[in-house]
Amino acid sequence: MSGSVSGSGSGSVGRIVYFFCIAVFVMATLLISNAVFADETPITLEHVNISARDRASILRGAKLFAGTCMMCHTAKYLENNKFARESGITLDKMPINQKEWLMNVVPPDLSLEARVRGADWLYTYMHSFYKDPSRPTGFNNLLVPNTMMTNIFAAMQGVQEREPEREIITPIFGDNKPHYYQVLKLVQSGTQTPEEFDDTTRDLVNFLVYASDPHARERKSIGIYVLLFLAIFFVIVYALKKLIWKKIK
Amino acid sequence: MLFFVKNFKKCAGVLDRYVEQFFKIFHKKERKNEPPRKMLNSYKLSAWINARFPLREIWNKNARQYLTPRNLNFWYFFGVFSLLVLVNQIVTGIWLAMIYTPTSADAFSSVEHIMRDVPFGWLLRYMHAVGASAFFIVIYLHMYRSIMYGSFKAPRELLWIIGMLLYVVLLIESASGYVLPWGQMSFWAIKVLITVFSVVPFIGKQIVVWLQGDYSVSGVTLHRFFAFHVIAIPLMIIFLVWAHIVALHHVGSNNPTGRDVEKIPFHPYYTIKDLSGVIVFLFVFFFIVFYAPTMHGYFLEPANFTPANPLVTPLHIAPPWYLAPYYSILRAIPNKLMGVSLSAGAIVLLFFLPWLDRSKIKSIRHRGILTKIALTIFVISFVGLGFCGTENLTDTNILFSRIFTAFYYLFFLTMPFYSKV
Repeated sequence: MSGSVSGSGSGSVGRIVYFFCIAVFVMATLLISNAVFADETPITLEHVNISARDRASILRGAKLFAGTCMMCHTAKYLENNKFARESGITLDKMPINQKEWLMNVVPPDLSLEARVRGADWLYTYMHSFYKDPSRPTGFNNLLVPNTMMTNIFAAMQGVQEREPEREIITPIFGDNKPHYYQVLKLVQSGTQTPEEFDDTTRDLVNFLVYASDPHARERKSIGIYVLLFLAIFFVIVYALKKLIWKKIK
Repeated sequence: MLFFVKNFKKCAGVLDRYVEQFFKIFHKKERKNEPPRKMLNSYKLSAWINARFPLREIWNKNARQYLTPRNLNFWYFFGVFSLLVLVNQIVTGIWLAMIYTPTSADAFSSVEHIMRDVPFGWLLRYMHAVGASAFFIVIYLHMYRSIMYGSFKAPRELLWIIGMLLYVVLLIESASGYVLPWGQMSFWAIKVLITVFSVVPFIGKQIVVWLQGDYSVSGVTLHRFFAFHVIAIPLMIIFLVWAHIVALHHVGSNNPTGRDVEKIPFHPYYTIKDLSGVIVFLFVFFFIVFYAPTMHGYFLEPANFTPANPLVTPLHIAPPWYLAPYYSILRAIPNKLMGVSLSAGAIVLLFFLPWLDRSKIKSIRHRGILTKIALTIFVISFVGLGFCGTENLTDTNILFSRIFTAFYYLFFLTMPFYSKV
């Protein structure tokens, strides 16, 4: 029993190494599980570069939302949001009381959609509609097969068709899932070039992310002051601690 | 102007004298009207209180003259951290309860109302949600410290048991709080959790109905869990925390060596040390609150931002991370009753730790290599179980869950043998 008692110097080094290994193990577990969380889509999600600071982009997205998305979708929780109201997103303009929908599928409320799906998911979803005559809306989606949403983007993006020989095979290991543009090709161009459409959808996603968490920007800017205060407070308290503990050392 | 700057000292001196004289007049005036004071007011007040209530006695017994080992390290911060988080939960919880509406129609939107329209409502809600997870991180590390340094051994068995009771009550508290946002995951996770009780022989069905207050999980259940969450269980927690501290101060703290060491008064040495630790904790805590409040779906799940819908079952139902180890034991066992018993047993075994460990040595520092290996395996299997519990159910997942469950149980069941070596 007492044979394993190591010297105080090497013992403490051993202890630190031991706890470091445990901490690395826990961190690695968290990282792996994070990767698996995102691993449930049939295609690779495109990364969209959005920023809460880009107010112009959010405003463009809000206007687009009010003009197009709000024909079917609601955003109930933006009721008291000043920014949204100025862009024309008000409760009375939302299709809240509409009773009849295609196949009785009620379009979801989009106030929190970005929190549920994530920005990249929304961005990819908007890009991956393709022509499918077998569907009642005439369009299908790679990310949500048999989606009931009409392809409202067709006028802007143009019409995409799925290349028949490309099958989506979800690999078991690795991240080799296809991109939407590897499976779909543009057969009829819309009012916007692909680059313009990327910007339009980016604005829309930026707005939806803002809508899901309107205080994100405020939160991040307050955070700096709180952390700064704590850091300064720590220096003072730690100096006091050193001073008090001097008496017994 | 220049003259003033050049002869600053002189001017200041003159000004000083004027000011002094000016205040002297006032001072004298004040003195004349008042009777002479022999005692400072603060002393008077404390004397008045102490004649009626043992305030000074309590302070001296628990802080000023309460002796603590001088070598308490980093691991001993987690007790005070959990107390801090408890206060945070109570204070933020009071404000949340002022606005939150516990009905199935309004619960979800009232939470969104807090997040969006109430000034700093988002801060209160994030502090409460992150606080819940922080509570468990802190408590798990606190428990690990006890196991590592043998703090559960005589004469601290009862201290350990009160602590374990606190842990169980805390699990119930967090599970009932998890229902309140009334999102999809709230609804379905509590549905699974309540169904677990149906395997209890003879009275299982009645327990389920009693817990739900209905024949299925509904708004009645929500209202009921709200009452548990804000009144019943917090009262139990506060009582148990009081008992935990009373028991601790009766027997005193263990220390990393597990042997008798030189002791120093708790105040001022540990009050100031704990305060500096608390600030570091708050730094990490608020970093998460302000910059990663959902912790990538660990503290607030993405699926829980969809309102509860009894008609749509989510693809994956996962409990919050702190319940995941027990959930993965439950899933690993094919027989439902056995699964429930084993995952409950995983907690029950912890209660018996003081009697399972037969070694006379407390601290891991002086224990044999077998105990060290066993503790390492235990930590790995506990974290592993937690990991498996949050992941989708696959064959590999079940295999690993079973292996980890076996090692978890072996740690306790073989303890009487390897701890004696």
